[in-house]
Amino acid sequence: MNRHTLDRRTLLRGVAQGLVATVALPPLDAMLNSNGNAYADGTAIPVRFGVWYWGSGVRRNQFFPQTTGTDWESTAELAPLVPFRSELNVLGGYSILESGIVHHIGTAVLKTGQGYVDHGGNFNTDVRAHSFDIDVAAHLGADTAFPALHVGVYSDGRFNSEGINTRALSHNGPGSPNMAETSPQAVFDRLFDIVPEDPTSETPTFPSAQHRSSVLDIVSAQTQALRNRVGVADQARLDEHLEAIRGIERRLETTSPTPEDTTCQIPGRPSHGAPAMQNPDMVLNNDLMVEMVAMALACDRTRAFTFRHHGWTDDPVLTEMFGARDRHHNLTHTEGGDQPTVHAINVFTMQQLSRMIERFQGVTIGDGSLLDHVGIMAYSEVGEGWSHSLDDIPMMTIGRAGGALRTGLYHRSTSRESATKLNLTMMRAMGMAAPSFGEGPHQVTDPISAIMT
Amino acid sequence: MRWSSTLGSPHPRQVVGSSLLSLAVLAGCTEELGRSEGWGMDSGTDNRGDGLGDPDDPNQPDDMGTPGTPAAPVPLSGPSAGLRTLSASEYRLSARDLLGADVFQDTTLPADTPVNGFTSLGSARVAFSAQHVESFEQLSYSAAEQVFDDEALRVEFVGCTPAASDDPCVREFLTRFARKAFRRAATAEEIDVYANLVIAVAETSDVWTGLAYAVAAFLQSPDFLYRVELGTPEDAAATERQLTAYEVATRLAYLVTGTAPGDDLLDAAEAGLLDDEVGLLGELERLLLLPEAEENLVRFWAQQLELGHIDQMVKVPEVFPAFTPELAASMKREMYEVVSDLAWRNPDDLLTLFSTRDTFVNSTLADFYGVSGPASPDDWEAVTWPEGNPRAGFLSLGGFLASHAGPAETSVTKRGYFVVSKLLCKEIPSPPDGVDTLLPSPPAGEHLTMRERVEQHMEDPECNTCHSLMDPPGLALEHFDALGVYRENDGGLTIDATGEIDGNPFDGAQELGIVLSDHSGVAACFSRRFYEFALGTQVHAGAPLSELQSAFEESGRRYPELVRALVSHDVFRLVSAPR
Repeated sequence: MNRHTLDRRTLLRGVAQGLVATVALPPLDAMLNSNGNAYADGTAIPVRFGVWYWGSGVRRNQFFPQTTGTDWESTAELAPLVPFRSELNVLGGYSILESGIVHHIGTAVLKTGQGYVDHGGNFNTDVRAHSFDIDVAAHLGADTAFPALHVGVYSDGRFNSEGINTRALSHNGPGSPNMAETSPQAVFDRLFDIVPEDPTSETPTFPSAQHRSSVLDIVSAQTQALRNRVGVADQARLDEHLEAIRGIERRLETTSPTPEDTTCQIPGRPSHGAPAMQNPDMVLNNDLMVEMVAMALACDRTRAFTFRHHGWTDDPVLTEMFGARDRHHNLTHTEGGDQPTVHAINVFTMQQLSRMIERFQGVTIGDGSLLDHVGIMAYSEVGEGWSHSLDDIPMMTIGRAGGALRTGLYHRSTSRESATKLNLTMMRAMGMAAPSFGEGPHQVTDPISAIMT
Repeated sequence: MRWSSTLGSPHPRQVVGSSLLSLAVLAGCTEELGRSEGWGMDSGTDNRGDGLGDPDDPNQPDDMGTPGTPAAPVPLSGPSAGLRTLSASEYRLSARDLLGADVFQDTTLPADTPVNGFTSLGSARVAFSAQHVESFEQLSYSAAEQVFDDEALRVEFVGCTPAASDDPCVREFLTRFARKAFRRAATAEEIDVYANLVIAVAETSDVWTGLAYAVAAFLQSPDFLYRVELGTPEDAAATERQLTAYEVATRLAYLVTGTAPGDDLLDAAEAGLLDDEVGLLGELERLLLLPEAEENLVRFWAQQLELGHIDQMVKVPEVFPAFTPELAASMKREMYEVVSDLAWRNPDDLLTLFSTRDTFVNSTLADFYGVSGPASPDDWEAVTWPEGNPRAGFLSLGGFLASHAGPAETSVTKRGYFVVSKLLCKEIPSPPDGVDTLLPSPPAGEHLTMRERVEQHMEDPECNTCHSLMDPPGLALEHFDALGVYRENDGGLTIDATGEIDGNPFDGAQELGIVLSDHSGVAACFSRRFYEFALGTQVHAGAPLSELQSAFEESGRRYPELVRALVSHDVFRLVSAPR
């Protein structure tokens, strides 16, 4: 047994040990067909999926343009995105068609297509079902190292005392949130901290991939046996546990990315962990997290991500940047006049989003960029922050999803359609059959055809 | 000093009282709000009608909608049979006890997900995330290597130097280790799995490496990572199941010490000593004397009184230049000291927490409060508020006031909601659909008191129903700004700190504290929340709860007696049908 101090690198060394590259090879240009939209053998370049969320809505009259179609004019709050207008669509006029606890209802509906379950007291809501990104991730990424990546910029929502519904952007089901990781270092360690094993080394690595796999077999069998003895609620929890074990097993069978490839360039370990509560460096943390996501997609470590820029219950006090005297959400209700601070934060949030678009544009895949092969749904859970309006939910799509999405449009619904049409649109754009999405008033059967090719 | 044993005191179950005051009040609030109709929920799945509690919770009665009517008795029932995930702290301590070394002391473990303020409620409901499972896997190898890297330590740990992988001492070790890891005796078949792993690994390596993998496998086992509370199998058809002796030992150990039962407690379980109340209480008394007991049992108060909120506190520097991380840390320590002293070190009537004029300060806090105290931030002294000082009790501690306020302004609702929900257990339902719960700023250039702003905002009778409960205790604390500094007036405006709770009038923080220290609803609330904390299940009524509440009252409201009363109650040895 190797007697050196065990660190993370050593632990993960086993991942690459003696394994054959079976899946998830990054796409080399030489492997592409002449159109650049498929591999030489005709296999399509994989499409990727993302959800980008921010809390507390917008100042509607400063966000939405007057003109629909391709000629939409810049607005104060969309200005940061104007340089990228050909890469995205802005959507207006869509609504949450059910009232409920403010913020909570939009939060639940745009994730799951249905309302929340209220466990009573202190806004203790949870989702009723898994969120739609789980289905999309399962559809896209069955053979990548990670089914999905869940990150955030400010807080992971854990200290937020309201219900689980408000704390995460992705859920495997009730009681099973996928919390956003806000430490770029932690994301890096999970995704990329892989040192290839030296097969000529005489000292066996501890733990080895082979024996880790044997241990996981034991743990799986025990978990399955325990599952047979418990009620349905615990069965669902153990199913999550088993799924996580399968994820580790899958990575034991998957090779590491190839660092010298032009598309996949594994970044260095980020300099920062989770941001401070007081005066967080939102710009730095956003940039670091964007880099992690960009390379996770470029290296095909995963094909799906959720990005929680900031929630509405656990949002920063941006005093240094904007002289804010309260959290973003609170300011949407307390700031008077034209809400200059709220407005500044909204503009800033769109700047942060633009950093992701810009970075994705710089990742070359085939004859285009990552934006050609990704579809991102960006949204907030309310329309106007101060009034909690459930109409005119600010929504966008970013990227062309392998050609399934048109871009460059500002499109408005003129008949107060359900905002869940965007969820269905994204599912279809990702190649899912998805005959419908949502329940009750949120059930939709047709996508937003104006933005589909 | 410690309290004296009360093994000879009247049995709690002989004292049956009704402590349903808080229930009647909360039913009124929800009833008037018309909670049962609409509420933006599909009534098909929200089948409670009362809007309270967990619809899946078997402890919850169905008929709580009528104001003033105590709920009908419900059958004695414990928490549902099922699994409890180990919290981060329980995981660390359990691994420490298993391995004899605090291998994860400096490791950041995946965070817990509390529900309704309690980690234990989350443990019964929330799944381990993929990040948890990945961490457990990696940490298990880190821990195994720490133990097996050390040649002296591993011999001591395993108890022999195995000659070969089929050396009988390997199996003896695995059997011994399994009992501690699983907190029960493992079957021969279960041991076979680990023995075979050792043999398989040793074929290409050596026995020590095989044992290291076995230890790592134990640390990833669901039988280690979940506390299994399923009851005895022969009672599977019954609505209530008796916990096995091992399960009782495990429940007791995690409640009191925050870690797995030691060999002595497992021996007692195997010998049948936990099957009767005298034996169980004897073990309890032994555990209460362990050093872990204070930290772990004070955890209940830390979670109930939201002492951790101060870690998330953000203040606007221009408004509060005096705010520093050191001040926040001192405030947190002060709250812990006050609570630990009253609840544990010198147990006394817990309700005096709200009226006491005693606290603990270091130099940072002495400066903050303007009282005399130690010269160093590292020294702590007990002090009594001098004559004329406006503070009294927990609600006037800087830590509470600052962590229940905004970054620049006070929050009447945050402070009032704490009093109503955490001290009186009145459940304030979520506000009506679409209602904005934040106070708008006064018009530009105009300054209003919080009372004026609250009153302007509460013209809507729908809001007023619950805000008339929440706001008065919050307004009583308006003489303390958002950092907890005393202020005679609010920017020149007179502060009206009068109000009432359940017909008891008060003016300001001291009188509010006295009202609360005399309010039986507070004691009933603490009993109920302790029951929820200890058993990891939400409860609103029922015989075990009202008996616990009576026992707490009878004891002069001393926390150690609350622990004893719960452990000695039948419900501590039961689970109800799984959900």
